Order: sequence, then C-alpha cells, then structure tokens
Amino acid sequence: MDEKDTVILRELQKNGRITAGDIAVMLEVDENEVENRIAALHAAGILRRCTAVIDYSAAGVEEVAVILSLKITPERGLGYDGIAAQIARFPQVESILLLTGTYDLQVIIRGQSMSEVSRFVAEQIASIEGVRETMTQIVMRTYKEQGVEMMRPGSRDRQLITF
Amino acid sequence: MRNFVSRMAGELPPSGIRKFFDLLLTMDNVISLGVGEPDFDTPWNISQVAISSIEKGMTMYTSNRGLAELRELLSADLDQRYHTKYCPETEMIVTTGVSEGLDIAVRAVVDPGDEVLVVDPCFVSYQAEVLMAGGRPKTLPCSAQDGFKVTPDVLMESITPKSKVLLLNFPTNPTGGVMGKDDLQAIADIIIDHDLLVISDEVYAELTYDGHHVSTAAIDGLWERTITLNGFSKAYAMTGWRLGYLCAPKEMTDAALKIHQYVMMSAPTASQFAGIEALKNGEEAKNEMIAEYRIRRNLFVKGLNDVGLPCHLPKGAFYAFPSVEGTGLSDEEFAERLLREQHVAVVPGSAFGKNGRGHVRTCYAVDRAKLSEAVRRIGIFVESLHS
Repeated sequence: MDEKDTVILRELQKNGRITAGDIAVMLEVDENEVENRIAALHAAGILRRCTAVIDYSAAGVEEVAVILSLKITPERGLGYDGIAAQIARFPQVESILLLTGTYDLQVIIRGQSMSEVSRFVAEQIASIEGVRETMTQIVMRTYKEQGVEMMRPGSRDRQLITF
Repeated sequence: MRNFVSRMAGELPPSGIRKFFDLLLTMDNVISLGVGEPDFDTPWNISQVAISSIEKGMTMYTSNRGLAELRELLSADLDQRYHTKYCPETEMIVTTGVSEGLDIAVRAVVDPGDEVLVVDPCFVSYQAEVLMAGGRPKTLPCSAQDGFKVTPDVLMESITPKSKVLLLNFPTNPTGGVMGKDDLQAIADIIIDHDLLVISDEVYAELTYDGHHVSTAAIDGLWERTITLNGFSKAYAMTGWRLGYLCAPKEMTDAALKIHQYVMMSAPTASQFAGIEALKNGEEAKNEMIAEYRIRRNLFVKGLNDVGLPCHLPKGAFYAFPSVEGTGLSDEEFAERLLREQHVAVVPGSAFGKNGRGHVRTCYAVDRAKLSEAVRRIGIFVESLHS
C-alpha cells in the first residue's frame, strides 16, 4: 500500500463504477498501472467488494432495518468469533460489530417487513447457544450511510455565472 | 432634471457577460461552468466558530486593521507558507474580501493619469478598479504559448514613462496560469529598474497544483515594492464570508488603512472569527478540497481535449481556458450557442480582455458528475458544428 493505492481505494469507495482510465487521469499514471494495482488490492484481500449505496425509501421500496444488540457468553478458545461467524452466514445480516460496553455484538439486519425481521431475530438469532440477551431497536430513518448523506438538501442556490 | 450620475460611473464599461445573465434566467437544466467559486460548503468547524461568536455576543466592530489574533496567525502562516514576513501590527489589514483589498490598494497608490499595467486576459475587476481610481489601465498581452505568464519581453514593451503599478494575479483567473520563481525572477530587475510597484493578487495561491506557490514579495528586491492581497474565499470555500487581507510595507499599509477606515471600518466580525478557525484547524479540509480540484482538473482538461477543444493544462486556480478557434465561432458565439443548444454555461474569454478572444473560461469547481455531463454536452455541440 502506498499513496497511489490509497487514492485508488478512496475513489472506488466513493464511486464503485469509476473506470481505471479515469483514475489513471487523476493520478497522472498509466491505465495499466491502475488495473494492476486494483488487481493486487483484490488479491491481497484489501479491496473486498465495490458496492452501491441505495436509498430504498427514495425508490418507494418498503424496507425495515433493525439494530440488534447482543450479550454473548464467549466460547472457550473462540471467544466471540464462533457465534459471530454463525450470525454472519445469514443473508439478512448486513453487519456485525464487536463492541465494548453493555452489549457485546451489534448486528444490523434488513428485511421486507417488521414481522419478517422479528421472526428472524426470535427464531434464528435469539436461539443461538451463547446468546444471553437481545435488545432490538428499529431504524426509523437513515441520515448518512457509508459516508453518503441521504438527507442532503437539494442543490443550494448558486449563481449560474460570476466573474 | 440634470444627469446625476458621475462621469466616472457613467463611463465605466459594463460587464461583457451581462447578456448571459439575462439569457440564463430564462433557461432550465443548465450546467454552469461559469461560477468562479468553490462548490464545497465552508468546512463546518469554521462556520460553527462564527455562529458561536455571534451567540456569545461578539458582534461589535473590530479594530480597523482586524482582530489582532487573526493578523498574528496570518503573519505566521505567510511566513511559513511563502517565506514572506509582515508585521501584524503595522503591515497588515484585514479586508472585506480581496475585492476591497484591491480597491484600497489601487486607491492608495494611483494618482489620476498614472498607468497601471494589467495582465490581459485578467479578472474583470482590475481595469475597472484602475479607472475608478482615476488611473489608466494598460494591458500586458499574455498568450497560451507562454502559459499566460508575463514574460520579460512583453513587460519591457509595455512599460512607458507613466507606468507606476504592475498588477499581477497568479495563479490567474481566468487562465489558470502560474508564475514560478524563475518567471518572477526574470521580471524582477525590470520592475526594479523602472521603479514599479507591484500589486499582487494571490487569492488562488493555495490552489497551485504542480509545485508550490511563489509569492511575488518573496523575490529579492520586490518585498519593499509589493502590495500582497490574499483571502479565504477560494482555498477555504469561504466566498460569502468576504474575508481577505492586504500586506505591504508600513507606508503603503498606512495609506490603504485610511481609505479602509472611511469606506469599510472593519471586516465582518463573525467572518474574522471564522478566519481564525480556518487558520488554526482548516488545513486538512483545505487540502482535501485542493486534492479534489486537482483530480477534476485532470479529468476535465483531458475531456475538453478529447472532444476537440484544445486546452493547456492549467497549473493553478480552478479554471480551464480552452481555445474555441477551431470551431469557427467567436468565443461569444460559442458561449451563447453552447448555452442555447446544450444548456452549458461558460464565459467568453473576451470578457477578460482582448487576449482572451478565441477562448472560453470554464470553472471546474463543479461536482464530477456534472463536469462529466458538461463535457458530454460540449462534445455533442462541437460535433454538431462539424457536421
């Protein structure tokens, strides 16, 4: 990883569809060099996936997200990793974070409806051995996600021409 | 009733782009590359300090020269960044933007009939400022071939016995041209030999992409004959705050201060507190914005060249100044038809002086998606002229 790799990662994080050609122009280097660097970042497991940030509410799509906080009894030899790995396998689970404080794991879950998410939490997560306590909070509104401001007001009044 | 308008105001030439304002108001879906200001918001910590200063009731005038803390920080910043030393008590004035700085600088040194050498093409206010002070603007032709710099030959040819001031602006609005140390060194002896004063507007100094900005006053023999103007608008995305500063040897600062006292009293107080925060904690945000402008410059200039508008790589500011001569249209026709047919606003180069003819000013302080769409539309327009 050097400064150029950092710029490539930052640009891909901002816009997963950016072309190697455009990054090459930005960095003032050869397009091949950018392609090679992206391939190397993939191979090293640094660049995992280029994904999209979607505002489902803007699209009128019904979606429910909850933040599930869990108290866990750590397993001998595995600590929290074994249970986290089990939870990670569910496609409904968007992210899992190990935290300090009252709760051990924070899990973000998305689903089509509240009943679907409730059933998933009750039947699939709460029943895992080692899960001692759960607290579920409903996400009411998303203001910012993965660095993207979802509530950004429309374009500000800017003059169209000045000196 | 007699005509009450002063002769000066009556004779002042109107802006060359007035008709575009009117046309723009009738159009929608316009991508504007005609705005010479950052598209970023002022970094929030800077705005927050200004808000907090108002909440604390710090809404009175400041000293005419500006808050002492701001001047001290500016003095240290200029020393560290450009190796120019100014005493915060006697050689600096905080102004209401560089616009006011320019006005009081010109009025402090120009007598009626004095000739002021103005780079052509240049920012539209310069000639008007000279005229308002009773001076005579004389243009210094600059060309794309020379990177829109002032060369020793052109300077020599332009000087007359009445020449008193050389007005420089590097990096330049509208061309993005930059004068490096060697370039300034090459004209320094001429400036000294002809006993000229330099007013150096360096508001785009921080937006220098290849190498570091060299301040005119940092060149040997020029400090004592230079008035340096700078401000927060461009580098910190603070255009609406109207905060600038003037630095010069005491004799000239004292003269400019008298005019400043009578016309402005002091720069806006909340803006001055914002300026303090910008200097203390604005470096990171500023550098991020500059890095983004550099990326946009590279993408945009390549895009312009690809669609058939030859464009030199601007070394500073956030303007590209492509030639439109190959299209067979004048710069004014090009700008007007591009606006009518593709809804992209650019400024005709001739609005910035005779030597801007055949070019258009395009500002790339516009987000990348819009910039890319603008290039696409310009491409369609240029293509349509050939078919």
